[in-house]
Amino acid sequence: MNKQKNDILQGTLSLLILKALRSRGKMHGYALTSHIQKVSADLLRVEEGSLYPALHRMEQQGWIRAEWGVTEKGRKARFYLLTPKGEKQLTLERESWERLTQGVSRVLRHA
Amino acid sequence: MAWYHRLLNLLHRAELSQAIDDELQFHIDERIDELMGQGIGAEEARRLATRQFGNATLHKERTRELDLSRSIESLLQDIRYAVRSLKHTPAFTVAAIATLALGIGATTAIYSVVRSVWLRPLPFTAPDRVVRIWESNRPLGLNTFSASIPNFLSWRERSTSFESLVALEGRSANLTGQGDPERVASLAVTARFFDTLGIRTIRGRSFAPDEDAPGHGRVVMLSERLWRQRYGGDPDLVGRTIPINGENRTVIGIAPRDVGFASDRDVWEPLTLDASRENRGDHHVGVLGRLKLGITVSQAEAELNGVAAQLEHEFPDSNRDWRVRLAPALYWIVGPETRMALVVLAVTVGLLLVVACINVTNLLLARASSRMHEFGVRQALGANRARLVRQLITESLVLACAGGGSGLFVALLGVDGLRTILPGNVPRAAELSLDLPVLAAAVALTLATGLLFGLAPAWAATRTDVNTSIRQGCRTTAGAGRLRLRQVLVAGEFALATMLIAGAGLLLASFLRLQAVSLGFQPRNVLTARISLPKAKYSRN
Repeated sequence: MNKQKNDILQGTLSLLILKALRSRGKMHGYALTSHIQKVSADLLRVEEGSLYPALHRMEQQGWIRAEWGVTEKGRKARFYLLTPKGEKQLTLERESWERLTQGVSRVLRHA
Repeated sequence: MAWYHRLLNLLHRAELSQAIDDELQFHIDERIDELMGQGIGAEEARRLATRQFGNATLHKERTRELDLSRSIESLLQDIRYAVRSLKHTPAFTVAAIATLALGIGATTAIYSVVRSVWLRPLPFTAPDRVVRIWESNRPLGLNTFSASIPNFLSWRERSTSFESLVALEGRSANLTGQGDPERVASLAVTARFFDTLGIRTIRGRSFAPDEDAPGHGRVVMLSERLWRQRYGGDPDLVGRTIPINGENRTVIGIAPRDVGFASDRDVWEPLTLDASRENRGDHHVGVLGRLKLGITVSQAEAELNGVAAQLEHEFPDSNRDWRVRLAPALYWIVGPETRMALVVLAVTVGLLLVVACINVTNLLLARASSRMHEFGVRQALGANRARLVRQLITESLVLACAGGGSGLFVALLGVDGLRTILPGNVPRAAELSLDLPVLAAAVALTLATGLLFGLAPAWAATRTDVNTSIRQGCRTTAGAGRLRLRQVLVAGEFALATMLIAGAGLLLASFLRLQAVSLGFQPRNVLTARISLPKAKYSRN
């Protein structure tokens, strides 16, 4: 496998999931991986090994809600939705991400 | 909330496990569809999708871990596993449990003594405001001496620090009437004694305020023990008259078993305060007082010393150099010698427990060496170190709990034994028991010892290089670090044991020496006897 590994930084996965659910609404796990991969123009790849634990953890935190549903192809799938608490979390994580990237790029530019 | 969810999940974990399977399977199916859409054959697509998905069991485990209270479930699993692996090595298990049972049992028994003698609050209301008051005379070398009744009355008149002051005096009494005559210890107390301390009678009443006035003292209270043993717990005894010291006295009440001190007293009688018949220089009563709210012991002491100075001025013949000393009641009841003895006992038994823990630690370390292979294999299969450490700690805790459980039996036996062995002059030992706080302490002790002796072996056992431990197979080799740890432990254990044995030896030697001290006369075949003649029959002249 010739893949340049673009492991998603610890902690940013939940930000990406929250954002994806925010803009696309209800989604199942597989759709989430393809969505993130597509929107990031293949720069980011979500590992299944981290995705499902993350989803279940976020569900425990009350940021997202899960329900079983049926896909267009008629398969039974578990869909995830953003909760109001998740909206707040998204704002928080977004701010801290922006602070982080700003800080890092400043350091790269000036230090 | 998350916890609530997790517990809920724990209840239907089979269902949940299935749900996670379904969810992950869906993911793989979608991937297969996508690959097939790219023109890959069904078989190949399945293979690729599965491979890309990686270790499905591991993903599932990780997901589950977050879902249900995996910690609880895996704890149960760990416990089952621990019990099983302990069963495989019965000799080790029995040795470890017996060692711990002795350590924990002895510690618990001694703690119950420390608690019932020293830490347990006195059975008074607001016991911290009850103080013992002594007279002291430095030139005569008397630090804590009895008071004279006239001085006691003067304190009562002139001081303002106390809600009340009471006097008491140990005496003895002849009980006659029905059954064999009996000589019992009695305590004469001024009328407000029971009210002042806040001790309730279990039957009848205590003394009325005027019953310590001259000519009123025809009443008596009995201890619960005497009431039960001599009078068979007769509920109608209160109100009847019984002959005491040749006089008929009316029983007005029964005192409770535990009055905090004087547990050997069977008869309570009024202490008659007749100043006209007392000499100010005749120090023969003990004094207790209840401080007013907000008054400290040293404030009260200062005030009483002021009174003592006035009395010295007024009565120079009898009161020269007599001062006053105060101490909280508990300090008086459990004196410095008793406290010291308790501390020594507690430290000794604590060291014994440490030695027991070190023993078990060593056994565990030895066992860990022979289980290196097992840990190596488990690490290679993906168990992380924290998980293995947790497993081993669980094993130690299971051991500790078994040891603690057996230790409770040891403690029960120990407390029974101590109750009979403890010398009669240890205060409050009669109420010695394994009560709830002692049991709670034993449980805490058990868990603490489990962690204490389990942590180091767990850490050492899992600090292993997977490759070597597997390749070495069943050859048991202890790493250098582990060996050093064991050496240090053995050395420490030896040091502690030496200290304990030396201490015990010294105590024994002092005891033997004391026994051998010459009395200055030949005690063999010499008897002593005391006879006291009741006042009623043998008046002054």
